[in-house]
Amino acid sequence: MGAIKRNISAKRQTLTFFIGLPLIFVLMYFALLKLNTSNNMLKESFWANKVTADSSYDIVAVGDSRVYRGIDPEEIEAQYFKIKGSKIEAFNFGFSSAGLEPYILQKAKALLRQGGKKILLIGISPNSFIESSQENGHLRKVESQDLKDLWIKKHIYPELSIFRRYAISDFVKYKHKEFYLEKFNLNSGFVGSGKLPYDSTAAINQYYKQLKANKIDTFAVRVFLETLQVLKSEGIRIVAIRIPTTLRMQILEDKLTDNFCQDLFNKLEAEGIECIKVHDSKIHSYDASHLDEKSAKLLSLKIADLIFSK
Amino acid sequence: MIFNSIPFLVFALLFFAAWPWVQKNNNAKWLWICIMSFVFYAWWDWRFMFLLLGTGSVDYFCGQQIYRSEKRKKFWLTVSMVTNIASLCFFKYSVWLIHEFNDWMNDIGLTTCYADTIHEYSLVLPIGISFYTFNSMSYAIDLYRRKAEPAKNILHFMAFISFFPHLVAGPIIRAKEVLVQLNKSHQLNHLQIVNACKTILWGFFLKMVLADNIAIMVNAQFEDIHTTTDSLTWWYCMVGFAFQIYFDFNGYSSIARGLAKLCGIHFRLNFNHPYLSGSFSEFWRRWHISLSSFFKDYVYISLGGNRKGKFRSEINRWTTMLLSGLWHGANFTFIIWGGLHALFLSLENFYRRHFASRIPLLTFKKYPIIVFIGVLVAWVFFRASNLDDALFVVRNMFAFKHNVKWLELISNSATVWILIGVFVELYPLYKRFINPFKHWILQGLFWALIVCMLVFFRGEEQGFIYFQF
Repeated sequence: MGAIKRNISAKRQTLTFFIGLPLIFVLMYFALLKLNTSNNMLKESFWANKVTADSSYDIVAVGDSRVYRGIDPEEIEAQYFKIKGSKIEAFNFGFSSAGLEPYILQKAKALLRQGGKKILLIGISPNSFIESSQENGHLRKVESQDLKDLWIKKHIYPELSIFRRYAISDFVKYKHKEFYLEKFNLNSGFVGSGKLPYDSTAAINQYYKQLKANKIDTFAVRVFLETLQVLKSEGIRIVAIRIPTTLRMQILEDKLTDNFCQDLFNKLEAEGIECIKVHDSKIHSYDASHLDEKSAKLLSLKIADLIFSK
Repeated sequence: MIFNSIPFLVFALLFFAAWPWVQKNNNAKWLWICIMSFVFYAWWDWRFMFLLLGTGSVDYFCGQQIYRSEKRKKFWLTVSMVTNIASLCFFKYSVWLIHEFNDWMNDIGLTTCYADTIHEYSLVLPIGISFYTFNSMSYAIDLYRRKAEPAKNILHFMAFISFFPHLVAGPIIRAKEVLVQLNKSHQLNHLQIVNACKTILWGFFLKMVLADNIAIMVNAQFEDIHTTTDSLTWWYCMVGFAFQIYFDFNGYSSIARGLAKLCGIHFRLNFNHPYLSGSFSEFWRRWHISLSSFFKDYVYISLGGNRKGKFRSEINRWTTMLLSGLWHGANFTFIIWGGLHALFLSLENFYRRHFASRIPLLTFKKYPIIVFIGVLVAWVFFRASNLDDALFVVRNMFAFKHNVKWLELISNSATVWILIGVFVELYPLYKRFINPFKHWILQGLFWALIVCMLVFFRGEEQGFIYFQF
């Protein structure tokens, strides 16, 4: 008798479960949507896409987070179309704390299409030449994942990205009206970023500590210059740019590295490598290091103008 | 393949979609279990399949010989034990032993280069090796003791040893319990299916929501270990770790039990609210029950247990606990973890024998908090990556230096998950008085909420801690 009762109760529970599940799901989904957190599944898919991209691009941007948050390949493509009236394919191959060393440069080169424009756009920052960055930990970590996992992340995760993950800290941020915007553009490798409220000094302290504790690796700089020469001899057009930040950050970096960027640009120019500079009062960094989405698009447009108007 | 992954979801759907038909045919059932379990294992690295097949074949053959021949059964048991222990030593302990040996040699001024002789295969720890070798060993020992019947053929044995729910992280199962169940055909009723699904969902909740969210705080703390000297922070972190490892492993065991239940197989409970233990011996009856009972039955009792006097009993206990520590990992920290538990058990025994009758107020049974504190201190050695880090944490825990604000500390996101964890752990204490889930409507809604929590509040995807063992 007890077993029959329990069985009936189990059937009722199942029924309630299947009625309750969509209701609770929809309620939670919409209640949590306002928290505006980063989509983790898209993020994983974004990185998997980067390391498994094929050689089909005319222009590839390479560098650290300033590059993947600061250069929008779609803007470059659109601007090129405006100037030349034909299409090109651009891709952003930036990674967190990326070091500019032969491995990443060769990887970026491998993405360039045979018979294409073959332009390598290099985002220079002092951090890319300190010892820890030279290991390119982020890139190698993403690459070292199992091929099956990478495939799942690349192809399945975007379909499941509706199941966004939330943390308790998201509620706290929402309460304090703090928003961190990250739009992962899977096809172009660009992350449209932003933060509310803006804090144009947020990253200063971290960079100060990092550059104070780590000196520029002169050997790495030499190897970098040699690699660029090799790439140039292979018919690749190399364009270097220092991604704009805030004035305070620029002064800090120049002071702590004895004007490293300017020296490097002088050397690059002496070796016949194109260096471009973009200054625009409409370009803003939300944390002293990275550009917001709007500024990134403006910067990309200006870069395209400078590269293709020649 | 790990349980909390998309490939496993597809795998499980495929397995259970075919199961009702497959299990009707006896041979097809064994074959299906073997094939799918091998796929499950090979998903991680197919090359190590041969290790599983190799040691499994040796154990099967030895098992047959042990059962057939009374005279030579000791010899065949030795062959089985040596094979299993040798593979465990090669893959799990060789690198550690060689490095330690190198260090000792360097300390006395001799330079050695044995590290160069390490084979690349021994650098990779085959997933689940500690679990499946123990399952294999229990099979051979039970046959030797005439406590179990041998598997009918190698297919049956391989299905038992590689049955995917327990393959990579336990629970450690016994042939005498599981082979018999696998032999039968099971028609599950609605209640049994619902219960199995609840067990699986609960396991996922413990792992993905509680353990993985608490892990963020614990990992951050241990990553930058020497920057924190505040005692409260370390106590808080270790409470977090105590719940993280408990929910991580209990989560895995629950999923494994639920999956087995769906096949009509019953695995014994692996965790029974260990942090409610009133004594250290009780803790070991509630924590990782399948491993503790393995060590009790096959090591402690084999050594003589408590039948050979007090002193031998202590020696046996220490040996068992130190081996249990070593089983968890090739590092002195794990041995110390085992040693600390042996010390606690010895102290408890000593107290019970000499003082408990005179000072009854202080019996351990009344003070689960003392047990919990002891367990926390031992967990430091389990979690820290080396002895220096462990000692640093313990020193700071007992320095009683306090320079972090309470509010700052408990405002960490992990606090919410730890509190839910405490609520879950204390359930047996309050369920008699307050049980809001008695009614079927509330039960149904509760499980719907659990699924939604899994979707929206799952922590950052992390592997199961016990996979490394």
